[in-house]
Amino acid sequence: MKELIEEIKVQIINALNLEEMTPADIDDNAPLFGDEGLGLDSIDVLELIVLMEKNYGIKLTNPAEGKAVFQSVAVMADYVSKNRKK
Amino acid sequence: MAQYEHNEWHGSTGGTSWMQRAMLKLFRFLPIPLAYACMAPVIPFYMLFDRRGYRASYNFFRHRIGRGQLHSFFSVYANEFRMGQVVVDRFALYAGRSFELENDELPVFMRLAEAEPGFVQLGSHAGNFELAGYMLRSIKRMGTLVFSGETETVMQQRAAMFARMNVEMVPVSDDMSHLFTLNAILSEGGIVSMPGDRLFGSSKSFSCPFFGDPAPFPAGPFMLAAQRSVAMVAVFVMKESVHRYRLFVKRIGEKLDQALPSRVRAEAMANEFAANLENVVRMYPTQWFNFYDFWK
Repeated sequence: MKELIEEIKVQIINALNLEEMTPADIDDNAPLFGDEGLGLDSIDVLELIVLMEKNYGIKLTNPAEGKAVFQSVAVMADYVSKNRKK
Repeated sequence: MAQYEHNEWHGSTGGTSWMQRAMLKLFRFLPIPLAYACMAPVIPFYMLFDRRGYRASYNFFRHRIGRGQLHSFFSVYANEFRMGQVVVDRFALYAGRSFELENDELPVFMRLAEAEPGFVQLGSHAGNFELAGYMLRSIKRMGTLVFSGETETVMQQRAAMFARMNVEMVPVSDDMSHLFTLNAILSEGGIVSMPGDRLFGSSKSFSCPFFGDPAPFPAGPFMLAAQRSVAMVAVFVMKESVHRYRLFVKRIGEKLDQALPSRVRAEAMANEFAANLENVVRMYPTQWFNFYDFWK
């Protein structure tokens, strides 16, 4: 799980062009959206949706499920480990 | 004087819900030109009391279109009158009336609508984009992004019109659930329709040359198309006469190298959309309905 968390952090940094950040700067359990944590917004959600589809074959079409998945990197990694198709 | 900015401007239809219901009843039998004539004397009051809207419109004609002071003043009247006509036409359509559509560029839309992949259709607050939703028929599922600021009457009428046409309204929501819905529609080969000239949900924007100065255009629609590598069209429905509109359909980003990073492609698409919007607005300057300082 630790490796998957690191892998997702690298993908988020690349997808969102967060050049000034390293995986160590992202707290596993910090919220991805809102003022705390990474402070991502709706444009970034689009990036994460595509990231999940392209890298893990996971299509997030249910809004409620999608919002829950993007709570934090740790939650994303847990979801990916249980639902990945790639 | 303070001006409206992109994220403050909601641009919902004027009038209370009961006024709009009365309009619907009236338009079942009232001649449309008579409705326009009733509106004409009311316009000066809008010009007098909606100072921010007046200022934005005046500055647009004076400094962007380059008209003289008096010409700009009368252009504001024409602008407000055109806006009123577009609203009247929309209610006339809800009431069952129809309009002619000059559609030389319809094949551009149909080629995409008949192909398998989904695509993004961009509108704007110029002309009467809502008519496109009612007049461009496709067998594809279409999701159209709508703002929640409209009255119940407008939303009910839209829902009734859209239900007949395989179009689903997707309200913009603070919890971003609309993004998952739009993404699902695109991935299933459907059409996503949204405005390309209004910031919503995110303050991220691309600064694009527009009437001589950089103006912010929302990053969202262009990022959505670029990330999913789907086609994009800009659709403009411009009023020509009492009963006639003209349709413009422009492919956006068709010649872009798909190997470029998605953000680079998205920005190029935003620039292309802005250039197309400027071309159309130059042809129909009184149909520019963003009544705030668009460049702030």
